[in-house]
Amino acid sequence: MTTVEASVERSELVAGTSLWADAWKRLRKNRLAVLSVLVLLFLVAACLLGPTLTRLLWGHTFDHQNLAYGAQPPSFFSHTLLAGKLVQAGGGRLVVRTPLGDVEAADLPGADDLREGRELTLVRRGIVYQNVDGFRICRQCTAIKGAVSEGPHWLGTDFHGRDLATRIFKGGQVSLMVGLLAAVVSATIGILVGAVSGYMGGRVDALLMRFVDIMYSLPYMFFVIILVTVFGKHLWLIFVALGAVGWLMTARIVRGQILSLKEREFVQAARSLGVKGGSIVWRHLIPNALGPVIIYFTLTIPTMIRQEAFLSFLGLGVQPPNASLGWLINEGANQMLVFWWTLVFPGSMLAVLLFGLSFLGDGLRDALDPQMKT
Amino acid sequence: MGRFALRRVLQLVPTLFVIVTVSFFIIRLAPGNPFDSERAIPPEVLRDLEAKYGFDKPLVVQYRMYLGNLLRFDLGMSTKYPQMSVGEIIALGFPVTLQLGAVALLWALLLGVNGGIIGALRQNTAWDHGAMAVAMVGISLPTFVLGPLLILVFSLSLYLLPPGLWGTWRHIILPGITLGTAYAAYIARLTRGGMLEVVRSDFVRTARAKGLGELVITWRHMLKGGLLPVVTFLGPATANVFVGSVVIEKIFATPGIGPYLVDAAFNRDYFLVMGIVLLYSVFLLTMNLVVDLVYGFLDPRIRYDP
Repeated sequence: MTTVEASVERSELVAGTSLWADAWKRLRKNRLAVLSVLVLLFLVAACLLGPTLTRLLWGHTFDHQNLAYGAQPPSFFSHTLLAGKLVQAGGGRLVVRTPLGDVEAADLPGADDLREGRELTLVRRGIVYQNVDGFRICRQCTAIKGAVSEGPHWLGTDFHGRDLATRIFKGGQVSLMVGLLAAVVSATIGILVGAVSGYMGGRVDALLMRFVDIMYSLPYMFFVIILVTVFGKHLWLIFVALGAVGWLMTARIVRGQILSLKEREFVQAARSLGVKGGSIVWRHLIPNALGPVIIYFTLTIPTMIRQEAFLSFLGLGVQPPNASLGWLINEGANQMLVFWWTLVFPGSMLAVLLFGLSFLGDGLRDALDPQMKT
Repeated sequence: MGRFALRRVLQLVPTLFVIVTVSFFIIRLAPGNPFDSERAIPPEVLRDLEAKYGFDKPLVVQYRMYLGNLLRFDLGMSTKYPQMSVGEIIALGFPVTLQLGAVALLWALLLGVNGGIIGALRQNTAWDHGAMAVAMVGISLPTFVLGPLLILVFSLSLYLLPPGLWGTWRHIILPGITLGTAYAAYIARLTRGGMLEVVRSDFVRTARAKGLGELVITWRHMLKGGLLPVVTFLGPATANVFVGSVVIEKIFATPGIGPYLVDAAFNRDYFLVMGIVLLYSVFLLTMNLVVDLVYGFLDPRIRYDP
């Protein structure tokens, strides 16, 4: 039925509703799915454009450290506590006259224009040294913000003073890429194995499916852990490893589809026209089996993202200063008591991302395969 | 049934053989060796060490020796903890992991089955939508987000439960809940789906016509059919629960076997890695077998002998 409709559409004789147009109509009616598509588009755009935006606006990069700004809470403004005039600069002393009295502070790297009389702002919780007789920690524990331009950190900074928003966007890029690529790898392997197994049948089928059964009952995350610890922590290895062990379900789905499809009339027709086995599989069987594969594909992406985060959390994922969401959460979990924002923002980002992808996958399943709806 | 079980048990043997072989060669072909360290070890000492563990022999001979030892249930010695055998390390850590996993599964079943029943019996009401929305949150929230949050609320703010370590029943609650919640969410969705399939079937109507109470109908009649998808899910779920406990044990500093795996792989502690992988594989294969047998018990329509 599907093929008939598809071929009609291809020959453009009748404007019939194809499976895809029909599914699209159903998907648009699903408010939750539409909402999650919008949210996902927004998040993807934010992850792709965010780092450029924060760099252009405020000069933040994901790996720029500024210890004086370590672990600043989120704020739309620069973290100003006190403003004052520089009354003494030179002789190893920087003294700022503020409404609360004179405060001594230290030169910040990059603060080049520290003349007397200059307006300065003092920043909370910086590590400040006083260069009087050797190094001593300043009693106020304030830092000076003068010629150093430091834009606002909307989501705060991490312990090393890196802009958390930029790091989350960057981490989102990594997580999305790993999720997508690993899902592509697993879908490709799964379709190939499933198609071969389903079309060939007989001993090949039995052997391949036995292998899938065996793999399915393995603690395969363990194999990924071993692979990654043993062969180094390259990003590509992670998604290859995740993809290489994640294809099992796709293979089963495709095999099941092809087993039932290959007995249909249109395949017999193709065969009687002299089409070779390879093109029957490629042109006729696989396109018709794609619906469930796409559904499973959208549900694989969040799984892969979660598993990459799992590896990152164990310290096996991307390595610093690079970040993935899992790694950011790992960092944040260590300091959540004091610096709550370092856990809450990356955690919510990951949760919303997974949320959206799962809802979209559910919506697609209802749209593409209404009979499966429970 | 008996023959089916026997055949499945016999099928375990080649599976385990594949697992042992693959993991043996993966870890052996990796660069580095267990005695890499900051300080250079004198060559004589290194030679003695390698002789002690048999690393001086060709790889194939070592493989044959390892298989032979396995048949005698000897998993070898750890190179990182030289005074302990792999069996001893497992005996220390695995019971803890087992308890944690059992509590997590119990929590997942309790919460999931009840949530699913509520969802199915009050289909398309606020109850249903509420339960399924909560389930979606549970699925989307990774354990390493949920765990720290629970610690933050229940340990560090309310002082109700210990934030980590092991010992009393109070230590088990937070890690168990953290580990089980995602599976509770899956189980809730599956239970709801399974229940909805039987909720309007003839045998339920008959039971109701006989005058049985709703409680009996739900728990005795509907649940037996409605739980089938859940039972299928429990096999892979058990696998994931025990793999997931690696992270949980790290968050809660639980002295289970999980964290050993990562450390052992880093340290190239060959026999310990193999031992842990093998342990988990045997455990999971057994669980899958049990699930298959239970499935047949719940659904007599399934024939074992082809």
